[in-house]
Amino acid sequence: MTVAELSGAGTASRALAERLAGRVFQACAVVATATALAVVGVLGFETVLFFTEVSPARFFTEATWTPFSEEPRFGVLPLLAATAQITVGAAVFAVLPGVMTALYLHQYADARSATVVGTATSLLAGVPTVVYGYIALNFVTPALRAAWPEVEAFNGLSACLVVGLMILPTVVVLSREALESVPASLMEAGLALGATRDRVVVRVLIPAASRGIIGSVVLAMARAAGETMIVTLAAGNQARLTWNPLEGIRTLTAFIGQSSLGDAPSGTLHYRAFFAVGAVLFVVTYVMYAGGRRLLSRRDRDGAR
Amino acid sequence: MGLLRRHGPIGTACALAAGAVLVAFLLLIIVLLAEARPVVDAGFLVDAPSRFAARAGVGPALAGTLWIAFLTAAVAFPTGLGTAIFLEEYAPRTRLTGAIESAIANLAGVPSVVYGVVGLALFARGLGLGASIVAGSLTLAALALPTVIVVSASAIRAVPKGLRVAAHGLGATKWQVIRHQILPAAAPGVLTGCCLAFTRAMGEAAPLLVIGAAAFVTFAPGAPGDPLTSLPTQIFAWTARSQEDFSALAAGACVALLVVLLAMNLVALAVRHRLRGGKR
Amino acid sequence: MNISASGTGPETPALSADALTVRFGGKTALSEISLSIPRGRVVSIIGPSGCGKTTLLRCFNRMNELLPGAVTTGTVCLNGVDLHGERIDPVEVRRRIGMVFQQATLFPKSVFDNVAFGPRASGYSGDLHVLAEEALTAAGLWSEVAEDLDAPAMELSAGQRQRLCIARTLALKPDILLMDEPTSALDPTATARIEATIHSLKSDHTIVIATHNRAQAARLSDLTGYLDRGELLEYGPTETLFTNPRKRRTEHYLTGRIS
Repeated sequence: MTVAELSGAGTASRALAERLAGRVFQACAVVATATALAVVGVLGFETVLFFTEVSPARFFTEATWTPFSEEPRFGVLPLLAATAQITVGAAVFAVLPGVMTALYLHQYADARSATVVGTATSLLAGVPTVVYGYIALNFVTPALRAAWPEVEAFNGLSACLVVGLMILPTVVVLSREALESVPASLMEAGLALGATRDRVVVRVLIPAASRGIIGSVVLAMARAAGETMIVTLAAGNQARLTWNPLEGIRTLTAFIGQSSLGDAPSGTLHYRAFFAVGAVLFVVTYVMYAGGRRLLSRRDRDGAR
Repeated sequence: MGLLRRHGPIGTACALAAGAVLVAFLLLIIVLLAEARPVVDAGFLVDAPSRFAARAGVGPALAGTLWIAFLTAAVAFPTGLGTAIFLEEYAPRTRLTGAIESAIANLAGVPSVVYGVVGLALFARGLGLGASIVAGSLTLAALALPTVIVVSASAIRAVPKGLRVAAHGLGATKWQVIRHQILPAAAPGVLTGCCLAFTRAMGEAAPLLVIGAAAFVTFAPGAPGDPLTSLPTQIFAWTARSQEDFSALAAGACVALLVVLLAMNLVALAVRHRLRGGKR
Repeated sequence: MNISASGTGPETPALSADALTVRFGGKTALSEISLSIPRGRVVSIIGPSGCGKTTLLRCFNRMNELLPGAVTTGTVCLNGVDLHGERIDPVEVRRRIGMVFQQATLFPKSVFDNVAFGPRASGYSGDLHVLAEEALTAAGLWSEVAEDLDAPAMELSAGQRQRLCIARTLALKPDILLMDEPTSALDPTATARIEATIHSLKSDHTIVIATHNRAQAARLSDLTGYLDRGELLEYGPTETLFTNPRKRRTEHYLTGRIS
């Protein structure tokens, strides 16, 4: 036996392949990390330039958003309020049916119904948001206006309803996972004490899964906050500070999506406003998303114990 | 009320909620199909958009979507899978690696429209690609990348440790272990997750609108540098016109988009089935 | 290329360790292990669970370094060549020193592909079918699988799986065969078959077995080492160690007072 025999010297081409593979994967990771940094960097760079011209204090406290007028005003509050309205409104419509559907799938459904409802849910999840936007504008809004004459042609309510439908599958799927992570023995212990199933569900199952359910709702709300096409098509483009869901509003996303940004010349204040709004949106959704993920993963750790 | 007797009041309420979800889904499909019926004919899939609703079709938009699907996957899939392999198999388990993985996972939650703004600055303006198919594809690739990485990494992590140890023990090199054991074992999971990421990216309209997708492209794109058009942006353009005729066209385009996405999913399902069955 | 002094005379042990120490993080798993394993012998390493048997075996083919946080000092030599030498390729080491694990983890492929995996990985240029038949025969499995080599390996019984793992390792024609608790997951019948296989491999292999099964060590091995809390307390001819242990703890272990 010699060192040469054990050095793998006879397999130079294999050693090359080995090094090459490592390099290629490392290069992929570098590209991916660079992409992530570029996203943050570009947003941050243009936003900083924006704030050299518009004071952050005015940006976050003023209630007038007229970026295209002769004397533009950049008060982001109306956009933030609109995003909040859509996010909370969608959650109002989605949480109860979503969690109840998850409960149905987990506790009550027989195998066939579970398959049917589960498939419908995952198909709903795959519907592109622009299709939802089409439905909101052409079917939901007319229905609302027929029932309720003071509803404006563009309004928050229609968008809330349809965004709620859009985030429903997220709530169903993630809440169901949260429910499934509760050990069956916990339910059985309750049932063995002679409690009815409904009682055990309310007193034992839901509290045990509550952290994960809240996480699923937060993640769904993060998606609602970042939703663009439904609000662009159905909620309107009036940047006004209102909580009335029957009026038209303009969200952070709709401002970016609606303004045919492609025409704004680079380097103008108008162009940079899109990045500033994008950065606000980035921070809001990033925080919500990371928080939701954290709630969901803590639930995993507790379940593992 | 057999339902009430079987499930109790809470169970019944839950069943009704699930029923409502089912009804909402069916309603969505029925409304789209009914609305699209007058415009969907043989020509609809090949004709170009037109000022006259009766003559309009989704030909260029459909071609654009297929182009974008191909280019997005061609960029994001290898990069994302490679990154996942690097993070799981090569990178040392340090705080930095953990932080990178966590940041990437959170990027998956950033709204698509934000990627549009960045894509405009980087690809359309920065690289001078303009409002082209390739600029849109690169933007959607950046959008899909975090999801591709997350799902691939978790599929790789789910491969039993024993396979790795056994293969190393038989004198396989790291790359041989990855290629012959880990990747085949992780393939079904990677495929399922990536398919989800790509179909979601295919349905995106917002980032493409931000880059400047045209509403009125009259010829099918034949090269990556051609003007950006896609089914989702075409749906938006027709919906925003809010005239009766164009509503039908938008519904038709919606149906076409859903069929394309469903077809992509079915292909992925078939491939996954073969991967699983192929092991015999 | 014959750089190091590498005698292959009769007195050079097949495998030897000198002052071998392994730490995981701050914890010492093995301390100052020195032993030599003569060519053509079967050596058992016995000891209570958690004593470091597996770690010791994994040092012999440099599998330990795949575990994060493992720090190894001291030397391990194969035929006199330091396995941690600068130019030594751990992959080549693992081809020369085969290992069979406690859990028979088969690749989700056919019986044949499992046996062929190692030779293919090392670029074997001969007839794989001949090699597979040899390896499967040596592992005592040939008669049971010859009919359908393309059957999925996952369909084999637990005992057959472990013998397939042995065949898979033998197909590499290793100098040394390491076996980590090869029968601990098996029933008595399957265990007997594996032991018969090991017995038949004795004639032309150097084998190191880690086991907590004292009777098995006594039945199979020429030499036995007693490992306790990371230290090799005693090492010598099996008969001597079993009938006349020098250390108190060895005796306690053999009589079942430590398990």
